[in-house]
Amino acid sequence: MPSSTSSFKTYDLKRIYPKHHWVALALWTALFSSVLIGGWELYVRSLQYAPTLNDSKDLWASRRTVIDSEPKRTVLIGSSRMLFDLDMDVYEKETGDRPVQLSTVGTNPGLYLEDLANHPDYSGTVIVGVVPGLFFAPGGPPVTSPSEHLKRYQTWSPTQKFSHQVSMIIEKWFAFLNESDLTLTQLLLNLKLPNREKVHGPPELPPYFHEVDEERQGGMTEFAAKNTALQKRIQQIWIPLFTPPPPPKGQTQEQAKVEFGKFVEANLQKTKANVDRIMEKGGRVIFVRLPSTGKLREMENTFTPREHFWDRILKTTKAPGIHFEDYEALRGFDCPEWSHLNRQDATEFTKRLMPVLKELIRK
Amino acid sequence: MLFNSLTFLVFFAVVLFFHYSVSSWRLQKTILLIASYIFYAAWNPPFIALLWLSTLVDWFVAKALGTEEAPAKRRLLLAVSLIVNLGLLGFFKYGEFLLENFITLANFAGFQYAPATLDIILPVGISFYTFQTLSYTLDVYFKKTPRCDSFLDYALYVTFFPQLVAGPIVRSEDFLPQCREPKRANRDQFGWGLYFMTLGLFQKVVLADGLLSSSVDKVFGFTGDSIFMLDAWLGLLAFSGQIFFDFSGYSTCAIGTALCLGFILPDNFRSPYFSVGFSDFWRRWHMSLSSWLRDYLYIPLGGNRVGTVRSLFNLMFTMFLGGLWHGASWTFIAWGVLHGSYLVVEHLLRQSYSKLQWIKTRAGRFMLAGVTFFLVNIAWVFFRSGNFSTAWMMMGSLFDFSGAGDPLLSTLEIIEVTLVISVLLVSHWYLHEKRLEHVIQDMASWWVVTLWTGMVIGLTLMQGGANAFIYFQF
Repeated sequence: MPSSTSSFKTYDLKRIYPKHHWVALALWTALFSSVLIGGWELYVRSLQYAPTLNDSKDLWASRRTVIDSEPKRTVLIGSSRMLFDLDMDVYEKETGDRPVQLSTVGTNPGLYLEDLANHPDYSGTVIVGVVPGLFFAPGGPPVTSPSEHLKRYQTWSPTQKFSHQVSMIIEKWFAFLNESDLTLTQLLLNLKLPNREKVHGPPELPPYFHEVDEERQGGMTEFAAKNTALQKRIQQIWIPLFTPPPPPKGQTQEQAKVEFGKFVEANLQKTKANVDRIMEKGGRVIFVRLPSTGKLREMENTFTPREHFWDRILKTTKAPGIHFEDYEALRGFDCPEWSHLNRQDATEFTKRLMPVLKELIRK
Repeated sequence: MLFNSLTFLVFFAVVLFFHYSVSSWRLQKTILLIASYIFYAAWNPPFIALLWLSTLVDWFVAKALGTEEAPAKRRLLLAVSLIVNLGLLGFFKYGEFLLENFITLANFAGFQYAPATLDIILPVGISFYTFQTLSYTLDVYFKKTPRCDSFLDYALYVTFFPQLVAGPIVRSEDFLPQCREPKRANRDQFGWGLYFMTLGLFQKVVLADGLLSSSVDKVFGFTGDSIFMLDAWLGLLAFSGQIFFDFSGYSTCAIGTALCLGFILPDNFRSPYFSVGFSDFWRRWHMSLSSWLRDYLYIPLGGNRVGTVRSLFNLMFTMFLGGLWHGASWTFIAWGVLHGSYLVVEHLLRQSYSKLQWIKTRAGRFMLAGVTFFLVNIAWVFFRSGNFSTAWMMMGSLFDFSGAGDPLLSTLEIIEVTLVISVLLVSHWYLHEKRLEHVIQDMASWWVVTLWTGMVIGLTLMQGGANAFIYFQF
């Protein structure tokens, strides 16, 4: 705030236009930019990137809006296994009902279940994919990500809707528009500069290995399904991601265990309340445990044993559940990177799952 | 609608097509007005009613002021405008804040009062367009400008989409004359406008959001006891850069967009981080707001013509309200009061230091610029912290020389912040007495193309998450 009251204006309206041939400069800029972007596109394609939709909050919100107009539709919630492993075409063929895919990668589906429980009209079937490490995640990205997705849906403005439509058109053409791998931010993170002691960067996430379509049917890329080097790299990334974090600052291992036990119980009660509300409205909830293999399965058995987590979910909520290890037909599938089925196996798995699922839906 | 969104790219292309397809100036202005309403409604359609209300009230008040000569009736008319505009602003922006403080006071006095929460949504840009319509009515009231005869011109002045939601706050005397003659950008103006738009987007998407925001969020989002001093300072410097690039980026985009349509908007920033003193800072930071506060608040209060004590009070009160304008929070008020104190102290010291010769040397100016930048940063602590506990934790960490505190920033973030802030400070030093236009003019064409291409590539690679501009919340 200028302290003088003398007559002056802190700005003037005269504008100077630098003396250049601006049309020529703009054309040269457009030409060079196009050549460089074209070169970048060719380079990332040589790394096996292909044009695919980004699994964005907008795409999720576009699917969530379907529930408002069709509140009896089947809804799939869970994490990436539900996104990859359940073939919606097969489900529709078997039941006549096209599910709405609302699962999101690396997330706890609890908030999505609560959202459906709070929906005044929703009375469909909710199939909940359970990965215990995520289902019982007390905080961090598995919880913040669903809340951000829900917030986008709740505040989805006309301009965001339009931008989403335009994005979908161009994302189908250019591989370099891959938001999870090829943004400048991510490319800089890939430099993996060593950090000071006690400073932890974001956890390493798997590189591009899945795609989604406009209905958010996910699936492993052909390249990832065949390339064992990529599969091994992803397997090594799962290990730290599925390893429980150290106890919070100021807590011993035992104290942390007690606190986590309380959280699990509270989470179970909350899940039960949400299941009950959906059932009161005429809907139903079915929990599904989808395949995992290799060392990851061993880790899950160690850190989140079935009797302490999966069995308790079913016992507390009294909702039906399908564990892939309980059915001969669902056992024996191979997950190339230990956590997800490839596209062919996902279709076959869904075909074998459907008789069991239909049985539960009929009940 | 955000400048950094694909919707805006399509919208602007369509607006340009229609703007330059018709030959009638009246029709061109009508197209711009409709486009501006679409631009605003694309955010939250119902709030357009508030914009219309504000437009209509000040139109009719100014119309009546144009013919009314009786002082009492003129005061009544002005009061209507002030009550409606400030009433809307007060309700939407300060309603919850006032209620919260009332509850705190009531509880403090022993009354248990717990009303339902209001959950008021702040209409985007309300602080900006309210100040703009108010300035028009005040100018007509004080007979500084005649009332506008054309409702179309006036409505376009209030609503012109490039600067509608986050400024620059334009005066009617600057905008309305531009509506009288047909406006078509020539090639150079259009090209320079596009360059400005690219520069503004680059500042926002690449520098503010891409390279600085993660460090700011980590440091100001920390919930522990203390941050390692280096990290605290880097987080604070990152916020200094983020808020400048975010807001200056918006203003630059707005100016560029208007240029492409043939209109001229005033500058809003002029290398503020190499300011020598706080009066200088406020001549360079958010210039359209500081000049508004000066002309419509500080001077009507008496300015510096009413004795030292009163003029210093006026200064402090103006900055207090300037802080409150930014948001309904005591931390914004603290920021405003701090800047008010800086100005008061500067005013008191001016008599002494203006006689010192070494102050006028290059080294002296560097030193004063350094002190100014340091104190501006201290004030940013309160501006960015959502509450006083975070602010005090930050202040403690900034001056904790013991080496204690948690290190937070990764090596990459340290490099990013150091690099971007260094370039920012050097550029503000270099542009202190120069205009960007002159620097670009003196550049070889191939350099301009290289920079422009670099910015386009940066924007393409960053892919922008279409994050809202910080100043939208004000």
